[in-house]
Amino acid sequence: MALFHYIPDVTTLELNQELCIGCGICLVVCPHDVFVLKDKKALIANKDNCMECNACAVNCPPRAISVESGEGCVRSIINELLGRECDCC
Amino acid sequence: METLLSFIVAIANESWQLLKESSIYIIFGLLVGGLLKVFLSPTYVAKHLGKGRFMSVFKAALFGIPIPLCSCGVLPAAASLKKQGANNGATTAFLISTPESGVDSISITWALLDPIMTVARPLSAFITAFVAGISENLIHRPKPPGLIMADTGISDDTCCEDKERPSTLRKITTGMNYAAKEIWGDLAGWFFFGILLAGIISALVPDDMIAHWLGGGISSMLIMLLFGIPLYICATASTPIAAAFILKGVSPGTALVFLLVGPATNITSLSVLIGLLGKRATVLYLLSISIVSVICGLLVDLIYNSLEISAQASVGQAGEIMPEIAELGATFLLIALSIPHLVQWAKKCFRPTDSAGCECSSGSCSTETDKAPPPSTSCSYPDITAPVATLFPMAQSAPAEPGEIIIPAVKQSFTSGSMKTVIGSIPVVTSDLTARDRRGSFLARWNIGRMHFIVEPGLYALGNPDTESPVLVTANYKMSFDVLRSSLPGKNLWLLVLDTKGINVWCAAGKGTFGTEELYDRIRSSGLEKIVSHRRIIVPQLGAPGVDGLAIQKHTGFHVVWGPVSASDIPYFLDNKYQLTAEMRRKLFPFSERLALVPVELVQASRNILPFVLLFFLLSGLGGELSFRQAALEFGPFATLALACSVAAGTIIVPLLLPWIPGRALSTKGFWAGIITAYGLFFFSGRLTPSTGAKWTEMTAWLLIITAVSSWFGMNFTGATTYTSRSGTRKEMFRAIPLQCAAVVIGFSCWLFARFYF
Repeated sequence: MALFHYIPDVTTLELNQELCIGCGICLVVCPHDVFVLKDKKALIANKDNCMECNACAVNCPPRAISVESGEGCVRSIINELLGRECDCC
Repeated sequence: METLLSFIVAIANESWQLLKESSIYIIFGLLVGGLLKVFLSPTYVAKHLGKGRFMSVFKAALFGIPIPLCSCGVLPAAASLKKQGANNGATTAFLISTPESGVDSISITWALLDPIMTVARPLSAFITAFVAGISENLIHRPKPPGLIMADTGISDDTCCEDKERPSTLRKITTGMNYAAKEIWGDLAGWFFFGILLAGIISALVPDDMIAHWLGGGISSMLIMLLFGIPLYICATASTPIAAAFILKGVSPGTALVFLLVGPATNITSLSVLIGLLGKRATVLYLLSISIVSVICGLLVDLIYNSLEISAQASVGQAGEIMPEIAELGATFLLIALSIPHLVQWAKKCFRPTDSAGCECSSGSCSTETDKAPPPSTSCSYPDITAPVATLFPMAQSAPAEPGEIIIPAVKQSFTSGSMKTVIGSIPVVTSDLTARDRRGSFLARWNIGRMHFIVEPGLYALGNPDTESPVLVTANYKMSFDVLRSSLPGKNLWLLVLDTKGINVWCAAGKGTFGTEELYDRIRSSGLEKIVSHRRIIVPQLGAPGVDGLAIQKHTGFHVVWGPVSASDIPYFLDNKYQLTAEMRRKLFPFSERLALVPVELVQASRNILPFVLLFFLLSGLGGELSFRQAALEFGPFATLALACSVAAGTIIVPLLLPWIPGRALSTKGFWAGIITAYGLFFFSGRLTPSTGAKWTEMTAWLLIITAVSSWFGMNFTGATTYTSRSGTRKEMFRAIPLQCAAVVIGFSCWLFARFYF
């Protein structure tokens, strides 16, 4: 079965290819097939698959990946907008 | 049963009548109160309250009359007056006249009682306040006011207003806002409580009983004093109760005592007063209130007797001046204004400690605290590599001292024994799940006992591992742990359980509890270094958002190998030199997983919708020619059914049919699910082609409400899915929520229209 596709063109994922060392760890940890390795550099191939989970950014040795991570959860966003403490979601 | 039902109906009826008659006056009172707040600056008030033993008290008592504050709300205001130089007598007077009367309570007195009481009430309040203030100042001669107007923050924003001089229009808006939010916020809960209590008194208490005890005279006033002094009730809320008393034969004077003493004092405010004014002044304050109130009560009775009017006859007269439409409109406006306050109030009453009010519906990842809602289910990934769990509340492992080794309890509900190692006896588990394990998982899926469904963190042995056996890392959510071990039959492994507060791996990784730091600490405190000779740990891939593999390697020497997404692929992973296919690295969201999430979503959503079901039942019963009960039974069940359908659409149809419903946004999917469900509902209930205008309006209302509610709950499923990003969720929220709100408001208006005007 295929992956689900959520709203396109929104992800905050960015990859700085100049820093990339081509280790491929992002391909391993990404649960949604976002990256491919081409010419010893990682490449964002399926940008809209990204769910901003942060796994690639946390594990990228040269810190070449950045993403504004957070839970895609309505309740937690509402709480955040209301300035509530709880991070229940 | 029959009688009980008729009692409830009678109570609701009485309360509704009272509410209808008083609403418009309350709104009027709130308007004036809000305007007073912005146009009457406390600085100005304070200027007049410092000088003179008599004039200051006179003015303070007078100022307090129209201000709509309850006995607790007045305390901060009085405290700031005192700070600004008001003397003790003036403060006392202000403290009495303010809660005893206000524009809101004066206007509701007009609505529910009669002209005499409407005058007697503020007048008595003034006299009480004046007498108490004067006696205070006579007994303790006030010192000449020292530093007047030290700008110790009088109440809130007023001092700033003076500087900025906002436009009149601006002031009015501020005042309206203040009236709806602050003033009514203080009053709403108690007001409805009062209305309900009055309904109960009217419906249940036999007339002759009250009339016998409280028919008039000094003794009935003293009884009322005893009843009223400790009671915390605001002036507005006490009015319907007094009206009910009078209808039952209480003498108007006795009711007046209640109206004066009930709002002026309560146990909390008395204790604050002792701090503010001192013990002696507080006793004086109580005495003055009691004596003057009783005297006023006696006088009022005298007036009624000498004029030979009966107070009873006047009750409810004022209401008839108002056209029915205006009354209904005001009532609904008042109810609309009250809903947020009532919700707050109810929360305060029923959960005094839980101020955060955190209710993550889908609990996709639960909170950090123990009471917090559900952990793993909604984030939906229980079947990841997981370690061992116990049903016992964890002995919360405090951060270990450097070098200290913490071993989880050997005897936990799921352990099958222990094995001796160099660091001591380590609990052993098997891959077989018992009936008890399964029952726990089942209940947790229904959101029952989920927060206690945890495993003590630390190292466990699966089978009979040795120093070369692989180490699997997992979360301490028992369901994660059970899924992990049950997918590893015949394997001998070490399981390292992290303390994720009972949350599954993926959600915990998102929060950081399944994180680099915890893994580092747990490697150290579990004694893992002494147990295994290799330096390799297998961490589930879905833990990667929280765990920096390189940092772990650098600081502990353990090399992090990323295991598969699903626990069921671990045997393949272990048997193939830690290689995985691309498919095994992918997090899918199959039907079975979505099905498993339905119960939690359903339970949460039903809980959220329940108050609205009750609201619809209540509203169904009101208005029209039918009796409350007939009308409630006529319209209530369909409302319940419709709301249930909308919940089912959002929390069952959306998850299950996720790939096949059109739209990418979950709110869009919820919308379509709602349309389909509404169609089905109308079809099967034979309402697809309504016969009358009223029915057309009602069905339009339900179509709007069902699609909006379904869309909302569909959107809430974002918290449970495995593929929604925060940016995307945010984007869809900003688009969908305004539409959902509009649909609900229009739908609800249509429903009210159909219910009350056809």
